[in-house]
Amino acid sequence: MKRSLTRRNLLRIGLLGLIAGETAYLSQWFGGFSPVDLARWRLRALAVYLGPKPAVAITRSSDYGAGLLPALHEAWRLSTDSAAGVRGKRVVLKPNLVAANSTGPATTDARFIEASIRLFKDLGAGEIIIAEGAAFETDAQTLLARTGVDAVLARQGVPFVDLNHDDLVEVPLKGGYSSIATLFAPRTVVDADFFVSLPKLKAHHWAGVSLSMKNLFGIVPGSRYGWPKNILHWHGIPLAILALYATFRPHLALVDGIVGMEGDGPIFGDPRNTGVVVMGTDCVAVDATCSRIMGIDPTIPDHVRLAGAWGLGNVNAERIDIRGASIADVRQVYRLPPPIANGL
Amino acid sequence: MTSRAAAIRYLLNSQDPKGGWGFRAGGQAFTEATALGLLNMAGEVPNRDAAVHWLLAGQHRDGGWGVSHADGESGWTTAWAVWALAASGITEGVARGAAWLLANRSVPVKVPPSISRLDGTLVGWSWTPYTFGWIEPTALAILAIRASGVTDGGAVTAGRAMLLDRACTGGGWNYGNTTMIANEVAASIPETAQVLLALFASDRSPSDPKIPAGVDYLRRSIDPLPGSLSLGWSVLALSAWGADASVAAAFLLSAQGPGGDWNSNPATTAVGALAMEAAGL
Repeated sequence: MKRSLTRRNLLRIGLLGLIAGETAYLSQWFGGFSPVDLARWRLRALAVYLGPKPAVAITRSSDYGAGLLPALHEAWRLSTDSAAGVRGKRVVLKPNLVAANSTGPATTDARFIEASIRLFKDLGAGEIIIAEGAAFETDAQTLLARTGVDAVLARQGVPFVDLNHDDLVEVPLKGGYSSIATLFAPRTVVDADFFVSLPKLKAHHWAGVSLSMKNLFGIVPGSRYGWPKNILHWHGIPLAILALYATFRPHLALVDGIVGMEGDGPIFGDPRNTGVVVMGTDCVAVDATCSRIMGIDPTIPDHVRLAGAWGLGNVNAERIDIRGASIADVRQVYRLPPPIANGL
Repeated sequence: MTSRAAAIRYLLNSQDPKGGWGFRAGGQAFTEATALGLLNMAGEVPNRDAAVHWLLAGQHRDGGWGVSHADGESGWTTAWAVWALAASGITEGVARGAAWLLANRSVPVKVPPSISRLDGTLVGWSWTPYTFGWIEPTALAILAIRASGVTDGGAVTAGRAMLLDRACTGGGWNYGNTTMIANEVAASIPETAQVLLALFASDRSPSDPKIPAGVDYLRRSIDPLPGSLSLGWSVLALSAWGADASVAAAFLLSAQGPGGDWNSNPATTAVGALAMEAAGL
């Protein structure tokens, strides 16, 4: 029987060619992937693309003062629906407290953390926990003192859990992205009813950007994997981020973009007044939006690009429902981290 | 009751029925916390025996230890177990544990100077097998191997060289990066103290200027006041090198809880108890 070159056959050939090309390309950088996995991820990306647009809210606050809490409430109202309710839930807020000694805005500001606690109290959270496992600090008490978070915890009556020294649960890493099969994960994160990634808006010299997905490095416990979570670098930063995101997917991303960090982040960059709060339930869409706000093409950071290409969320600007301020209204051009600026 | 006696009482009360300790009373038991607890149990025979039993029950067939009994892969916490057992006069399991450490040193990597100034070809110990070497596992492995008394075939000398190479410009050590691209990375207290203890355990002469620079860094690091874990390690390292630890010890004493604990954390309390012993408080 003679077979004609129908549109369907052309699509099949195109998809197979795409997967074969992608397999060969990725193998150069990250090792081999199963063509079956790649086909599955690509089909999921198609479904995500054709699905409903995720909402990402951009609201403004010029500083960490009285205008911040209203900006958080407005972002919540714009970006979430009743399905994302937190009333009576155990809410775990995971800020980025990567290091104590940075001279720049490397960490989620203590005042932003305090405003976030107040937001979730206002929303009726049953219990609020601040949790972090710093990449460069083994002594959490020193970290909290030097970032000013200890005073926030005392004022708000909220506990802190050091994720580097929490009780551990062995969890299979989902998605097949990383060669790490299982991870000993902090029980506080595993048991959270509502898990919030609370990052700083910043550039990162290896990952391109450090936002709500990269912030998940802080849930990898130092007691097992050490400092500075080198096992994740060893297995490839972008794929480790995807594996963590697929496994511990936060219910919400809430980004401290009041003062961001440009240049040589995550530690040595410079402050950049940006005056935004960015919030959404699709962390990939939030990170892509934040990249655009920073003037960084979201396809430059491998983990953001791959998260979109493989259907973990939306990267395409046309498939993200921006609410509140527009990207054009708040967009800046952050200085790129040196390895990216130098094409390393 | 002395500060140390109060801390020991807290440790006795927070030991789990199987002999282990965790990072919070009533929490999971971990190899690191149990080893730290055991280092304080010289005069508490039943509790010491229970801790030894807990550690030996967690030793893997390959001679190493995981982070807890639930962890089937041996890693950096092997050094904690070997150090604590050997320092407590226990021989069972020690030689096999030390052999695991000697067989599982870090992987040398050529690090371009554009990324970091460190010499990645120097071999120490890593957090997880078959990966790059970092400060804390190297310092602890040296302490463990020296306490075990095994022949190390030059591994300790190589580890010392790696530690000295990773010293920060302003004195002291951090997790193991002297520079990050074009920037100097600051030192931090626990790692500096652990390195100084490891260097002291392997050669008691301050033969390298990085040693007094590290001691000086610890003395300067009291302001602003660090956490109890940092203070405890500081007191131990300063005391080992004969430096004045009285200010750090006084701050540590003032931070002790009414129940004898520091931060309601058995591991931190165990470090504090060792520090109080060194300070005679």
